[in-house]
Amino acid sequence: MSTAALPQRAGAAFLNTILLGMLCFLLLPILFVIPLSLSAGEFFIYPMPGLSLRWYEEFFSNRAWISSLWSSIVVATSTMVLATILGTLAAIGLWQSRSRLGMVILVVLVSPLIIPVVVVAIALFFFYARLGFANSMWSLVMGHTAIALPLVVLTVAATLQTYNPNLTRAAASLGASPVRAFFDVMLPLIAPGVATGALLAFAMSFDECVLSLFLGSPEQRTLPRQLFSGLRESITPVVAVAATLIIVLAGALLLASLLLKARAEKLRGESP
Amino acid sequence: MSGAAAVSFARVSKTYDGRIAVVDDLDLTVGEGEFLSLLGPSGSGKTTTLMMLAGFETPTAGEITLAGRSLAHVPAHRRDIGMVFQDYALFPHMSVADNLAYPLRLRGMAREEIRTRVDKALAMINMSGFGQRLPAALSGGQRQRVAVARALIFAPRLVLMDEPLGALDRQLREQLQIEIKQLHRELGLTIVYVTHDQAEALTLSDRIALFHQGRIEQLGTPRDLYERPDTPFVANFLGDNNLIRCTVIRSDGQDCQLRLPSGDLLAGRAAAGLTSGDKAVVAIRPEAIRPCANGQAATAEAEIIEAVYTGDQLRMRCRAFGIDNLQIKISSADMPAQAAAGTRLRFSIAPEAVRAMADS
Repeated sequence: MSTAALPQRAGAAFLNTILLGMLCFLLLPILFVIPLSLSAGEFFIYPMPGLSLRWYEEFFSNRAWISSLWSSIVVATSTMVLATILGTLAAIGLWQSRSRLGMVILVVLVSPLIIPVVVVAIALFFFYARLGFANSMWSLVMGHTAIALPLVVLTVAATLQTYNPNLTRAAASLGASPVRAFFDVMLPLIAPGVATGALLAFAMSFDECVLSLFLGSPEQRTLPRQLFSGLRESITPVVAVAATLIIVLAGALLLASLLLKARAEKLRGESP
Repeated sequence: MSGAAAVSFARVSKTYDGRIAVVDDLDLTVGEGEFLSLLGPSGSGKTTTLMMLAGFETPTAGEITLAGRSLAHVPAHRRDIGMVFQDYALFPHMSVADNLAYPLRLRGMAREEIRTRVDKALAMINMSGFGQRLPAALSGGQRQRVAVARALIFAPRLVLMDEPLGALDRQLREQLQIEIKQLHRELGLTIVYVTHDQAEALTLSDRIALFHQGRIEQLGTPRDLYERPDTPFVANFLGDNNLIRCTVIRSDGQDCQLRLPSGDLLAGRAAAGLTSGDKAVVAIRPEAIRPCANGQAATAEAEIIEAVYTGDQLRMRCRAFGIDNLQIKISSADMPAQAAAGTRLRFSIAPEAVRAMADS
């Protein structure tokens, strides 16, 4: 081994240590919550007095928790459907456009990612209140759609970078109307990006808290909102159960989106 | 060549920014059954012209007609024009057979009929048995053949090809040129073919439209363009040429007498519009300059500066007519005994091979 390799190895070790530290910083709080949901005790403390599923039983037998889980699923699914359709169409429109205005529109569409959620929430609250449907499930779905839209637009736009526009032209030359060409040729090829965007939109909505606090109806609390009030009212490990459910679902969705991305890259590698 | 007009462009212009015309006031007619090439350097407007015909670009002004009907309000998918793309644009998620079947499915053809036609098309391109492969599993030449078959399978009125052989190596390109030419002849197709490769255009075309800065510089048969260029640009673009400035001493509209700056006099043929006293450019093909045997009357004498033997030819750079880069190509069979640098070479040029054009 040459002498030059030594400092290089030391550098690599240093970087790896930092990486490990950061991963711990990000993951440890999450990993501490999951065992707590299995605690037999009444409080959030380690060491746990024993293992039990009592808090899961409590969660699934409590109407408030169940209905909040259900409304989260309804809101997240509606958000996913709306954001995916609108976001995909917006991404395709921007991709096709030659106009310089496209850049401006993209910035506007993506702005909810940059603007603090509280600001968006307050603005939407007053806007919907004026229109007379604040604090309904639909106001929440629309709010979530607004902030999930950038996720879909960006993932679909990224996929479109690898789409060959001549394929749509070829379909047209063979007799396919624009709608036909979209469903027969473009959509199957950008499907991985669309699905990734959809999963991200669902996950975003499922664990979003601030908009739910401002826009949700009093009867329909989403899971994160119920969690939030659960924390204030009575801190029992049932809160950890709810958190665990959210973490597991979000983790599963993230994994699914990574798998989709890997598959898409494989397809791209094979395409002519 | 042509019967009725299949396609016609009437005063067609295209501009993207309102100032620079990518295609400038184009008039062009393509005959039924004709193989017409749009040739030109990149940015000359040939691809934009093709895209307007296909329906992927809209003319800023003028009208395009196909079989007598205006295409102004006909979207691309209703034009019934087959197209072969430079990158082939085969659908990567469909098998070869599904790619070929796609235009037939869109036309609501019965499944049995589709299968028969697809099998026939695969046989036509010598690819029977490849139907179930994905495009990614094909070689470049095979993809190109499938792209051609897909553009022909629905019997379109017109076939457009956008540099369809550009991505292939030379040997394969020459073989596929022959195949395309064969399909053109056997199926009686009308083909508009875009290329920047002049050899390809010369080989394939009935007529060539040579584009330059959004306009057609010259339109004619390959021989017209190669042997009787109208402008120095055409003379220079097709093949090698010696271009020398000169003055027209005398011209009767066809035969002319030219004086070169060196004082040499040359007999030649003049392009339309040249009259006595005009400043002109004369084009002489390197292969039209022939060495003379002793005793034969020579046009002039040259001093060889550089000679390169390429097997079939001897290529020389010579000093003559007051310039020191006169290109001469001699078939190896006619090689003079003395052809080393520094030797003097007497040569003659037939008047038909001397083309005088207005200086642009």
